[in-house]
Amino acid sequence: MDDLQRKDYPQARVIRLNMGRLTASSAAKVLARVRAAGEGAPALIVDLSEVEFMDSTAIGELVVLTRRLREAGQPYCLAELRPPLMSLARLMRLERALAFCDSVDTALASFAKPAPQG
Amino acid sequence: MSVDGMSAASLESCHELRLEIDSRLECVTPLGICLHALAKQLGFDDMNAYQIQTCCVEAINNAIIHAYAGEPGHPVRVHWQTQGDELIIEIQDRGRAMTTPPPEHEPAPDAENGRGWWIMRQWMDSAEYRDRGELHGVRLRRRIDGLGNRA
Repeated sequence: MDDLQRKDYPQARVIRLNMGRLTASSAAKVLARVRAAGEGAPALIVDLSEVEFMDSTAIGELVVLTRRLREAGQPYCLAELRPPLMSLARLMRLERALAFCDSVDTALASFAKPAPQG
Repeated sequence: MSVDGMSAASLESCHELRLEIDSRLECVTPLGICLHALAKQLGFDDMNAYQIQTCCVEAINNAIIHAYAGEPGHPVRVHWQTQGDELIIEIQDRGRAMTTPPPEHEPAPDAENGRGWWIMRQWMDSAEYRDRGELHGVRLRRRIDGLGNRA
């Protein structure tokens, strides 16, 4: 099975990381591939449900990914973080810097909403 | 090493373990898994074992990335011990010592790096840098509280 699984919907592309760990040894390369795999999609949802462990280097690489997606004007969110990883995200106040969604379905629904008028 | 296969009794009578890896980031994951299992065997729940594992991984990463500048072929040692109601973990290297004290401030949410020491200080009872000449590293302490866990 590919370690990045891609699924397209009309409003977004979901990329699931099929790996248990996102760490200093792999994060930069993996997230560069995520970004490349998301190019051209109306929005990007990164499904982290399979990731059990993440270190601070990986968090830094998620910040880099976020910055580049925002610069490119591409909506995105990180979905389905496991409770330990969400506790790490809260500890680092990452909700202020990154975009999180509870689930892929929630993210798909939010990206499907029409843009506000005016 | 089969940590999961150890009986509780064998670990109760073993208060000290030393583990060593080569200074390569790909060696950190299996060591982190061992440390998680050791924390579980002490009675920590999944969340607390995860916190201890994460703090150790941060210190080990620092040793490889900063002390050894990412160069393989050097030892990174973990000295795991229990003393009374306290777990003490020392992560040691023989690389370049820190020349400035570890940062104490909370990193900005959008910082690209500099989170390791903050995580260690928040999730352990203490995290201190120790420079003992050629050998230096991080000492992490965490109360065991009679096999209990943090709220």
